[in-house]
Amino acid sequence: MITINSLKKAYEETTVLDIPELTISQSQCFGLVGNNGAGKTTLLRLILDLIRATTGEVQIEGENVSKGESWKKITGAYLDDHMLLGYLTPDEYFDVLRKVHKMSDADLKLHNERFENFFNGEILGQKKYIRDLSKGNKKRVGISAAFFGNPQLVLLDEPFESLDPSSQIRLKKIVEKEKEEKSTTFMISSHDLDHVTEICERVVLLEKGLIIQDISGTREDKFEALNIYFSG
Amino acid sequence: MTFLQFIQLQFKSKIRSVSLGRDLIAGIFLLIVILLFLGYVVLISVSLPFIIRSFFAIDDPVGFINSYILFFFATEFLYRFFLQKLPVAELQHYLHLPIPRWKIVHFLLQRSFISLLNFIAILLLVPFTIVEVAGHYGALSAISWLGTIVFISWTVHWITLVFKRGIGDRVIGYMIMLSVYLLSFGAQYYGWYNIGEWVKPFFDLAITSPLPIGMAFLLFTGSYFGAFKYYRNRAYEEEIGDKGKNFVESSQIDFLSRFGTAGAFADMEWKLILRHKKSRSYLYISALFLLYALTFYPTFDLAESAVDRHFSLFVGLFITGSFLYNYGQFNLSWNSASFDYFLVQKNGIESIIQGKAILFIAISMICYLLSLPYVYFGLEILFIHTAAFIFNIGVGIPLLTFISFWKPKPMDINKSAMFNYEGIGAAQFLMVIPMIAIPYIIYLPFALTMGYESGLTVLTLFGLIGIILYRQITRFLINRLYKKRYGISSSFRQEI
Repeated sequence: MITINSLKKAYEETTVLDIPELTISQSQCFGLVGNNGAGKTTLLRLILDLIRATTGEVQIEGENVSKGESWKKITGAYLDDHMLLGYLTPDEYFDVLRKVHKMSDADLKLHNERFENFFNGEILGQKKYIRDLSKGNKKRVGISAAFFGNPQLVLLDEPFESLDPSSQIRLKKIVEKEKEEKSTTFMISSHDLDHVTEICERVVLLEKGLIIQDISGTREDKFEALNIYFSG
Repeated sequence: MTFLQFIQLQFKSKIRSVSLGRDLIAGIFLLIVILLFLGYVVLISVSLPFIIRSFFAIDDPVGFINSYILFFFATEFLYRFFLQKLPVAELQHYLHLPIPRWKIVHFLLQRSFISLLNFIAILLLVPFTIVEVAGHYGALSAISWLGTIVFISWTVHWITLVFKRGIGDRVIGYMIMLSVYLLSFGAQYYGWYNIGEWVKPFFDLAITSPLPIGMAFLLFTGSYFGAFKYYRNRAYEEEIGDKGKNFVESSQIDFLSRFGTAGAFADMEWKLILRHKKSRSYLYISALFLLYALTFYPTFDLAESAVDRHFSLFVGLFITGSFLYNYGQFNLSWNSASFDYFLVQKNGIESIIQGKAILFIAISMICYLLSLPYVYFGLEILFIHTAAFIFNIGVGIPLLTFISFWKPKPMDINKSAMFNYEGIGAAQFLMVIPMIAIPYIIYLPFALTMGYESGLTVLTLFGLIGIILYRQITRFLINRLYKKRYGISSSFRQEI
C-alpha cells in the first residue's frame, strides 16, 4: 500500500525524519509510537504530501504522492482541526464532503449510520459551528470525515487523544470492522500504548526521526517491548 | 467540487466570521466606509470629463488621460499592495481531500479576483469613455480603449499577488513601493523625465487599432498563469504563514529590566509587538504618523495665526501619542490569547497595567524626541509638543487604559492589520474623541482668553498632576481591572 524510499525531511541543518525504507502492506494496521518530536506527524504529513520531502519519495499504490494525485481518491486522513472548515456545522461540513467525494444522499446516510454510535448524538443535528465544538467533538467530526468515500488507506494522528473512554472503545471497533470488511489499511500514531498495541498488528517506534524498532507479534509482546523502551 | 461550491463556502466563512458576526457596529462601519468610497469613485467618474475639459482646460482629454494612465496603474499597485492578499491559509482545509492541488489554487486565485478593487478602473472610466471616447471615435474604439486599460489594471492584480507574497511583510517591501511611487511622481513633477509620455502612444493606438487590447489581454492571461504557477509550486503547508517563523531574534531591552516584574512584562510586550504581524504593522503605522505633521506645519504661520497654533495642539497630541493611540486602542486585546495566564499569575494584573504604561511612556518619549526637528517650522512647536507629550503621559495613558477596559474584544494578532476589524468594538470608535476632546476642553478656555501659552501651561499642569498621582491612578486602574476580569476573560475565550 505505502512504500517509502530513502525519505528525509530536514529544516535547514536539523534532520527531523530519516527513513531509508518502509513498506506497509494492504489491510494492515500500522501503529506509530514515539515521544514528542520523534517525527510521527511529520511522517504522516509527508505521506499526505502536505510538506515537501527534502529527499526521497513516498508511494501510495505505486504512485509518487508528490507527482500524481489519484492516490487522494483512496486515502482519508485526519491530522488536526485545520483540516476542518470551522465555520460550518458538522452537517454542512459532511454535505460538502459528500459533494467532494461525489456521493449520493443515500451514501451519506449510510456513512452517518456507521458512525451513529461513535457520534453518540452529539454531532449530527447540532446547531453549532465546528469551531465552537469541544476538542473531543471536533475530533469525532474529523475522524468520521477521514472515512468518507470508503478509503482504502486511513491516516489518523493521535485519534484517541481527547476522546472520552466510550468513544475510544467505539473507535477501536470501527477500525477493526473496517479492516475486516473492507480490508482497509490504517496508519495510526498514538501515545496510548494500550490501544495501539491492541488494534495494530505492527508497531513502529520512532526516535528523533529514525525507526529504532519495528515490532510485530502478539499484543503482549508488543506491549512488553514498548514498555521497556518507554520506561528506560 | 466546483468553483461555485467553493465560492459559497467562502461566502459562508465571511458572514460567519468571528469578528464580523459578533460585532454589528464594526460591520456597519465597514459597510459605510465601502459605500462612501464607492460614492467618491462614482462622483469622480461622472465629473471626470468635465474636470479635465473645464478645470484643467485640456483640449484633448483622451490624450491627457493616456499620458497619465501610468500613474493610475502605479497608484493601483500601491493600494492593491496594501489591501490585496491571497488567502493561502485556506489551503490547509482542502489539501487532504480528493481535489487536485491545481484546482484548489485556481479556486483561490479566481476567488481573489472577485473584489471591489477590480471594478475601480471600470467604474472610474465608463462615463469618461462614453462621453469622450465613444463620442468622438465611435463605440468600437471606446471598447478597445477601455478594455486595454481594464486588462492592464487586472494584470496588476496578479502581479501584486506574486509581488506581495515574494516580498512578504518586510519593511523593504513598503520602502520599495513608496520610493518607486514617489520617484515616478517626482520625476513627472519636476520634469526630469516623463515616463507617462513614453507609454502614451500605446494607449493612443488603442483607439485606432485592436492591437493594444489584444496585447493587454495576453498580459492579463499570461500574468494569471504566472501567478498560478508561482502559487502552485508553493501550495504546501509549510509555506503557509509567516516566512521567518523559525527565525527568532533576541531583542532584550536592558533598561526595562530595572522596573522589576512590570519591566519584565514591558519587555515581553515589546517582543510580542515585534514578533506578530498585526502589532508590527501598528508599529510601522505609528512611525508613519510622525510624518503626519508635514501635511500641516509647512503651511502654518505659527507666529502670527492663533488658529494655526490651536490646531497644532491636535498635531502635537497625535504625534507624541501616535503609538499610544494606534497600539493602545486595542490595549488588552493584544494579550487576549494569554489573558488567563495573567489572571492566574501572582500580581499578573498589576504587571499588565504597569508594564504597558512603561512601554507607552518609553515609546511616547521616543516619538516626542523624534518630533523635535519640527521646531524648524517655529519655536512654538517645541512648547506645543512638550505640553502634549506631558499631557499624554500623565493623563492620556491612564485615560486610554481606563477606556480600553470597556468590552475589549479578542483578536488574532498573527493576521495582517489591513482591513482587519478583529478587536474593534464601540470603544475603539469612541476612544479617540475623549483622547482629543479632553485636552482641548482644558486648553481652549485659557488659550482663548489669555493666549496659547497659558493654555499649554494648564495642560502641562494636568499632565504633571497625573504623573505625580501615578501610583494612585495605577492602583485605581488595577482595582477596576480586578472587578472586570471575569467578563473580559470570558469575552476573550469567546464565550459571550
